[in-house]
Amino acid sequence: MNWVATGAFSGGLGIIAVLGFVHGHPIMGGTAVLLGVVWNIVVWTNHGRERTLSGLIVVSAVVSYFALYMEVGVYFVLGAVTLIVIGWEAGLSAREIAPFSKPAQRAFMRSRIPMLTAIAVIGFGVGAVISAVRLHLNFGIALLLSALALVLLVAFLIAVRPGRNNQ
Amino acid sequence: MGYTYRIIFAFGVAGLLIAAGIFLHDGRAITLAIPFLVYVAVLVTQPEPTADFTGLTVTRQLDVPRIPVTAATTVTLIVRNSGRPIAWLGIIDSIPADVHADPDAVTTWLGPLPTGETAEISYTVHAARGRHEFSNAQLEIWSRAGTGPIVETAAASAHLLVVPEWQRLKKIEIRPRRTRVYSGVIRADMGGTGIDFFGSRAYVRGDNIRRINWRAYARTGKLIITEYEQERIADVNVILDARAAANSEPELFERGVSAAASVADLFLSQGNRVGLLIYGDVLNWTYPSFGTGQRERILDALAAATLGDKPVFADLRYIPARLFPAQSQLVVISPLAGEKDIEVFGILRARGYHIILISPDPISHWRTELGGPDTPSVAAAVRIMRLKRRILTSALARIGVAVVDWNTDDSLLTTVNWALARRSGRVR
Repeated sequence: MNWVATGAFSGGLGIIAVLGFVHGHPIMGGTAVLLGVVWNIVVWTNHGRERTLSGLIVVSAVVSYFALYMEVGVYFVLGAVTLIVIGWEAGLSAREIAPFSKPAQRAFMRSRIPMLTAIAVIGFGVGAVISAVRLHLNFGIALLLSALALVLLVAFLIAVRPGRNNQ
Repeated sequence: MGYTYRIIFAFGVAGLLIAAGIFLHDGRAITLAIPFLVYVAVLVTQPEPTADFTGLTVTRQLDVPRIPVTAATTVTLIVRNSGRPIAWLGIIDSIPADVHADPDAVTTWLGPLPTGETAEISYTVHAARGRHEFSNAQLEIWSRAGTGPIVETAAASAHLLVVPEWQRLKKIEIRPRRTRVYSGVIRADMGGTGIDFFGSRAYVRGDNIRRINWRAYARTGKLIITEYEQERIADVNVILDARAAANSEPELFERGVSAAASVADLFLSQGNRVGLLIYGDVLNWTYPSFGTGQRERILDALAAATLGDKPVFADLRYIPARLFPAQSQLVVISPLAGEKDIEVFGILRARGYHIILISPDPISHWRTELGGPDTPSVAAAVRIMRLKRRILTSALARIGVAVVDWNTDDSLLTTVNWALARRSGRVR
């Protein structure tokens, strides 16, 4: 699991770093490299892992936004963010199954591949389609209400998740 | 971090990006939120694992529940699923403190567990002396997609008793004033059948004519009977000093426990009636008896022996002497705490008990633990402590206590043999 977490998260940040250096934004590239180093230290030393990993994904999202803001390639950045999300998920799961034997961890990881693949394909695909379509947005109260409706929808879905048992 | 929290956190990041997009009037930020929203969407559609642990039966077995310190035993934890199939079950066994699994031991299990199947964890452990309680195992259930886990603690208790190591000692000659009627190896200071010459007396009717000394008859013309010293069994009570004040180091106490086991084993193997009193934390009394069963009872009691620092047992004056038969043999295992202990030995001697004191030497033990060179200050400290200890042991010897000053670096067998086996004559 650690290798998946490292590969995905580092890959995502590597893409942003390369984009930053190639397009003449060394600070952005350097920040991405630094984030990747910190991520790997946290993953492999198991130090303050959950909070730190979650903190790192927020910082990575901000850096990714700056990459988009600098117009260094929307599809690349979208792919990078998708990898970062998968790496974060794998990193958290790795901690949960860390007490178990390596073969058991590998078997468990294999069971997660469909879900992670779905996140990667759908996340990147939907993002790419929306970028390509270029929807016209009015940044007003309607968009804010739509976001609020989305929050309520997710809260509702969490509440009615299948198989939920409140015992 | 549970899945609900992951969903909330990822949704929070997406919300931040959407909010940034709204406030900055930049749709790219909203685009960036899409992977997070997809992540949330995928997770909320995954079924959560069902927290149904009722179908799981957890049992623990110990290959050998009672082992010596030097041995190991195999622990087997079996989880049987008689309920619904479980997509992913994780089992994490908890091992008590002072119990150590082998370095390559696997104490966890993770995998699917269909109905009617069992999961088994088996590993080898060794442990320090004492009574160790295996209590719980942690069970974790994930859904087929890997969401979860739901955690439950399942009771799986078992006891492991680790008895102290002991040495087979050779003969320790004791001569208590009172022995029991059965034949044994303790000289009873009474004429009769035996091996060693005891005395001679005039023949009286009823004496066995095979015991007539015919040479004496030839010299004196009188019938003389040769008597041999009777050998019988005796009551021996071992007293283990478990006061923290006397046992400055836990390791010193461990040596004392081993010594008590060795002494009890020796006297039991000679056919004597042996009891054990552990004096310290509580008064732990193992009633005197004979044979291998009694040896096991004494080992069990010694396995559970712990140091105590209760003020009521600060000195030895509350040793319940009435438990011991009058004029019997006492073997005290104590490093000695101070002058007050000497008074108690004096009282016991005055009541007619024969006492052997096996005293693990705290000074040599402390010196070994300290390590390093013999600096002048260390040498002076050792010398002063040795002088104080010499005063104590000399005082004990004067009141008739046989003292075995045991340097714990040396074998107990060697020390006891040297100090006691050659002891001749009778200490009164």
